[in-house]
Amino acid sequence: VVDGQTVKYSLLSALIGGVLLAQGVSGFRGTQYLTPFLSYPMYSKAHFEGERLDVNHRVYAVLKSGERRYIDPDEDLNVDFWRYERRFVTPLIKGRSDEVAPFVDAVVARYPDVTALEVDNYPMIITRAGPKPAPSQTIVRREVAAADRSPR
Amino acid sequence: MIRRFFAAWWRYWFREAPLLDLAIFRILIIGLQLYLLVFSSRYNMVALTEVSEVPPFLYEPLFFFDLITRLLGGHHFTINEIGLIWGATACAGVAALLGLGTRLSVPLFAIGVSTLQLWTMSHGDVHHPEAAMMIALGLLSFSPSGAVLSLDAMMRREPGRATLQDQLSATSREAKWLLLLIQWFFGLMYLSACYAKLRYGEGHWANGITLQYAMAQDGLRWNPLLGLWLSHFYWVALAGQWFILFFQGTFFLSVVFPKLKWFYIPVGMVMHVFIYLMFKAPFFQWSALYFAFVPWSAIFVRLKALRRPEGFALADQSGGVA
Repeated sequence: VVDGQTVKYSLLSALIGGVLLAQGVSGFRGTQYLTPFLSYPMYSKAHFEGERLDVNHRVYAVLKSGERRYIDPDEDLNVDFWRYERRFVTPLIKGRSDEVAPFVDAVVARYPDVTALEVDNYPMIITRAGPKPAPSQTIVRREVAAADRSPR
Repeated sequence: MIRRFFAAWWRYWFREAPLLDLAIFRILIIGLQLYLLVFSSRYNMVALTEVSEVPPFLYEPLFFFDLITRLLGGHHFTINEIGLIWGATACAGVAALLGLGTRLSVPLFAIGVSTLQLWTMSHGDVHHPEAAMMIALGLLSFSPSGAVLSLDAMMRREPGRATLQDQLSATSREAKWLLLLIQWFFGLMYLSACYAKLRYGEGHWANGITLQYAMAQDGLRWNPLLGLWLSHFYWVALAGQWFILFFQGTFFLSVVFPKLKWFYIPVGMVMHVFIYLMFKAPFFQWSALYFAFVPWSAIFVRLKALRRPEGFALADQSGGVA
């Protein structure tokens, strides 16, 4: 005969096992699929002397006239710092055009004569003596073609 | 063999333990989460309203949030509904904090907080400090966390019968598993963080420059008190990185060997304060969850503020609630 306590402890045991398993799998496989069971890869990439500091990026809309207009996260795209960097800048740098397309639509709506997007890096590098100024560089230029925009 | 394994498993997770430790843990984590929910600019209604205004294409429901919406017939939450959930969650949080209808108020608070967090995270940005708290609150729902130090317990206490001391000294076989699970959870989180540094750092992570880089980066981004200043000291960063690897890679030993908690827990708490001062990374929830390691009953017994629970050796607790 199985009493109530046995059933209760068995269910709690399954819960304990399930939680540990979910965290183990998510933690070591590096997936966010089972959020809130997460991996913790923050700050895990190695960096080296002379490397550009990835504080933030500035994305510019290049107009037909050649003029560059800064695309402000809040005013132009209505997103915060993290969404700007993770959902817009990173895919833009990596050339994942399908992910960038909705943002391109927003930029085109703001600047209809945009011809390209350019990404500038942060004007500092890291050294053993700490951060040092270094001229900002344009690290990516993507032409804005109709194909880059979201399918309608 | 299997029978012996399960017997050992039950002895480990469902041993007799003081309910007071669990109740204090409830008060601390619910108190913090309630404070954050109402007052923090990261979680309050203003923050939720801002999330509701991000471009709709960023909305990608996470697995568990997708499950919630599917259970509601594919429902899409409006900001007004989110506001209602926020208000109901805050009310449940007050009740759970006071220990009123704890068996109901704690699960409601856990469901509310998790729904709000998963909804937020489903709008294009996942962050880490909230995740462990969601899990801890969910687990708290299955424990007798309101058995003592609660209005429920006060109302149950009949005049002239069980004294307050009796209640505070009460033990249960369900009072320990949650605290132990949180401890193992921390061990797993730290171990996977250490693994990520070894894997993605490709053997070069602990080179000093990596930590200088991170401190300079977040120092310039968020202007924390110490980050930018500390990023100028190479040897400090190098020693710090090796220490982090050692700490994260071996933290789980403190769960296996309870006496090690006297080293790992204070050091871990100080480490998270320093993480805030260096990176402004707000892992306040983790700091609160660290209290799962604190043997409150043992401390109170030693201070003679509490009678020793019957059949409960002080040595069992003084190792750190092992």
